[in-house]
Amino acid sequence: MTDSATNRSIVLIPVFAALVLASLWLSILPGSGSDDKTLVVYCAHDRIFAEQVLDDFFRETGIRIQARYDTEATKSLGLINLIVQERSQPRCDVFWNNELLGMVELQQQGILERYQGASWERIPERYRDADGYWVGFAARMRVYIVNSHKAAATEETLGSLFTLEPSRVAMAKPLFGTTLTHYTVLWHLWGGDRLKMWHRDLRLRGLREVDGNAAVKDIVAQETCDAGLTDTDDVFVAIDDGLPVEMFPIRITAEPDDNPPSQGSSTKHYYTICIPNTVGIIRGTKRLKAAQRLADYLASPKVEMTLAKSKSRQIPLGPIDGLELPDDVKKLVDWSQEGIDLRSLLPARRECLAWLKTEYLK
Amino acid sequence: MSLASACWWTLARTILVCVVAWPLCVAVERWIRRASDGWRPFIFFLLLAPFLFPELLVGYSYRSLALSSPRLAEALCVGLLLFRVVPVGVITLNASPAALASHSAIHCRWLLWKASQWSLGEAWQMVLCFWHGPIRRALPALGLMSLVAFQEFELAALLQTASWTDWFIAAQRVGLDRREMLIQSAWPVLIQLPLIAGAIYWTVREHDANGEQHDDPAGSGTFDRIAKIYLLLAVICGCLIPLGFLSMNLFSGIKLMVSQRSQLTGLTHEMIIAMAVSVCAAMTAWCLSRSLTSNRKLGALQMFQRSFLLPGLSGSLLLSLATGVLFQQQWLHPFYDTPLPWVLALAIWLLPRAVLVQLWIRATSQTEGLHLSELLAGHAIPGSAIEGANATSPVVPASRASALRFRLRDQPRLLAIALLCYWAYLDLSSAYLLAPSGMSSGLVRLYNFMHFGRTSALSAEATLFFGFPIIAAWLVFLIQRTRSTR
Repeated sequence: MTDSATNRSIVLIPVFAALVLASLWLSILPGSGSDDKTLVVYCAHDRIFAEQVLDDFFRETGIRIQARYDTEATKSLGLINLIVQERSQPRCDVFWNNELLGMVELQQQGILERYQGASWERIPERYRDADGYWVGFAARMRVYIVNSHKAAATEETLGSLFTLEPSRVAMAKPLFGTTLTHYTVLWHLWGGDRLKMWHRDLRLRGLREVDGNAAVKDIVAQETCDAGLTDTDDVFVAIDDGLPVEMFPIRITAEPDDNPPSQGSSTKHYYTICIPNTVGIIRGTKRLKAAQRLADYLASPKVEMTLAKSKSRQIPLGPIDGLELPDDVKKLVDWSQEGIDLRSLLPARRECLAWLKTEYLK
Repeated sequence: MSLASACWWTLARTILVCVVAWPLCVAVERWIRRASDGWRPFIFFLLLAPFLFPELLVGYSYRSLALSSPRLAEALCVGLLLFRVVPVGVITLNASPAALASHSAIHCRWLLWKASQWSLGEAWQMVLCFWHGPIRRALPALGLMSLVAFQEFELAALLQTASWTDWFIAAQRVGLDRREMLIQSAWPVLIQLPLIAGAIYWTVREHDANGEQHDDPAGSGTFDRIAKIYLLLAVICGCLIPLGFLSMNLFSGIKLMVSQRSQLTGLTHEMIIAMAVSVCAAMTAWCLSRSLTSNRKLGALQMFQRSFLLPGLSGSLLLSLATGVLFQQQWLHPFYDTPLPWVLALAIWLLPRAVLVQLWIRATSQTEGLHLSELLAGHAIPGSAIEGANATSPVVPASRASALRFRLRDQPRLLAIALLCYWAYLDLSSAYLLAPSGMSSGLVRLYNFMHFGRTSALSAEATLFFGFPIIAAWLVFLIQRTRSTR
C-alpha cells in the first residue's frame, strides 16, 4: 500500500464513523415541530422489563420511543435531577418513574403537565394525583428477605436480628430509590429524631450497607447476611433462580414497636409500603398527543397485567381480571391493601434526604 | 463517608498498590529487555492482557466474592488494581530512555563516597547521582501508575469499596448543587495535581532529553521468577477467571438472545453507536497527540500545548461531569443532546494516552529499518546494493518491501489507534453521563444488567459487545495488511 493509501484510510475511517454517528443521531432526532412519531422517555424502571413494554407500544401505535434508562444503583433520583436541570429546555417528553415521591417532587416544581386520561380514571385515588399530573400503576413492595437456611421468615426473628445482630442484616444505602421511600415513611411515622437514632445505632453496630436492592438480595442469597430489606421484584429474581430465600412485608407503625404485628394482640395500625410506578408528562413537550397516548398505555390493564406476569411480578393497582393473576401476585395484592398513602409525604422526603446527604456526603 | 475521607482512603490504596507494584514493574521490564525478539511480543501480550480486559467484566466476576466481606472486597480491589497498574509502569519504563547516571556511574560514586571522608557535599553528590539515575527514570512510570490507581471507578463501584469516584456519582445523583460539586472537586484535583503535572513534565522531558541506550540488565533468576509468577497470576486472575465466568451458560445465553430479537437489535444498535463514537474520539485524540509530541515547537508554545493534557489526566468521571455541566450552559445548550459532548470528552480523556502511545511507538521504532524499507518500497533494488548483504542476494521485490514497511511503520500506528478506540469503547462514565437520548452505549446496558444476575443472557451480550470490536479491528488490520503487500 502506498503512503497516500495509508493516509487515505486513516482519514476515511473516522470520516465514515462520523457520518454513521451523524446519520444515527439524525435518524433518532425527534421532529422539531409537533411530530408525534417519536417520544423521548426517561425511564427509571428496570430496563429488562421496561424495554419490552415500550417495544409493544411502538408496535401498537407506530410511535417510536427513545428511552434513557438509569442505573440500578442510583435508580430514579438521577433522572429526576436531570429533568430538573433541563427544565428550561426539556428534552424528555414522558417520565416513567419507578416510585411515587420523585414524581410528586416534579409536580411541586411545576415540571409536569396535567392529563386525566382513561387510565387515570381507572387507577384508585391514592395511587394517582388528584389533578392528573401523574398516575401510578404496577407497584412493588418493600419486604424483608430472609435466607431460609439461616433464619425463619418471621417478624420475631427479624426483630431479634435487628436488636442483637444487625451485622447479619443488609440494606441498600437510603440515599436513592425505594430505600429512600422506605426512610421517608419512617421519617413520617416515627419522626426525624427517632429515625436518626435508629439509623446511627444500626450503622454503629455493623449493619451491612450495599449499593442497591439487588446487592441486598445477593448478599442474603449467598448467606453472607441472614436477612435484608429489599423490594419484591428483587426477591423474585432470587426465587426464580432457585435460591433459598423467603420474604414477608415490612410493616411499620407510628408508636414504639414492642409487639410485632403478627402476635395479634396489638391494636396499633401497621402500614406496609407499596410503591407504584408512576408516569407523568413533562410540561413543554411538543409531542403532547403522543405523550398522552403513552401515559394511557402505561397505566392500562394490559401493561399492568404484562408487568404482573413478568419476572418482577408487579402488583396491578387498577381493576383487572383476578383469575389471570399469578398466585405470587395475588399474595402481594393482599399485602398492598395495608399500604400507606405516599402522596402527602413529600415534606418528609425532603427533610429526610437533606439529613441523609449530611450523613453520607459530608 | 465524606469526600475528604474517601479521597484519603483512595490515596492510601493508591500508595499501597504502587509500592507493591513497583518491584514487579522493574522485574517484568528487565525480563522483557532480556527476552529474545521472538518472545518479546508474546510477553507484551501477556502483560497487557489484564490491562486491556474489560474492567466491568473483571469487577462483575469478583462481585459476589467481594460482597462476602468489606475487607475481602478491599483486598480484591487492591489485587485487581495491581494487575492494571503494573502494565502501565512496565510500558512507561520500557519507553523511557536510559537514566543519565548509569548503574556503573552510581557504583563508582558509591565507592568514591565510601573511600572519602563523610561530608555534606559528598552526600549531596550521591543523592544527585541517584536522582539522575533510577529516581528520574522511575518518576514518569510512578506518576502514571498512581493516576491509574487513583482514578479507578468501575472496579471500586462493582466491588463496593470506598472511593472518591463513588462519592461523586452519589453526589451527582442526589442533585448536589453545581457550585458545591465544583468546590468539592478541588479535593481529588488537588491530590492529583502533583501527579498530573509530574507525569506530563517528566514523560515529555525524559523523552525529549536524550536517546541513550539502556544498561544491559544483568541476569537474575529471582527477578525472572518473580516476573513469570506475576504474569501467570495476572493472566489467570485478570483474564481467565472472568473469561470462565463469562463463558458459563454462554450457549444457552446465545439461544436466549437469538430468541429475543428486540434485545439483539437494541444491543447491535448500541454497539454501532459506541464504535462510531470511539473511532471519532480516538482519531481526534490521535491527530492532536501528533502535534503535541512534535519536537519542532518553541518551548513556551510547547508547554502551552501540553497543558491540554491536564483535563484528560483528571480522569473520565470528573471530565464527563464537567462536560455535562458545560454543555448545559445557555450558549452551548444547542449541542447538549448531541453526540458532540460525548466525543469531545472522550477525545480529551484519550489525549494523554495517545501522547503516551506516540512516545512509546517512537521509543521502540526502528528508524533505520523503516528508512531502508521506504527506500526499498520506492525502488526494487538488488539485495547486493544493501550494505553488508551478499553480492548474490536476489532482487528485493517491492511487495516485500511494502510488507516490511507496513510492519515497521503502519502496523504500530494501526494498533495504537485500535487501542485508543478500544479504551473509548470501554469507558463507562462518559457513556453513562453524556450519551444523548436514544443513543446510549451497550456498556451502560450491560452495567445495568449486571445487577440482576442474568448470567446466561448477560454472558451472550457481553461476549457480543466486547468481542465484536476486536473482530472488526482484526478485519480492518487484515485488509490493510493485504492491501499493503499488493
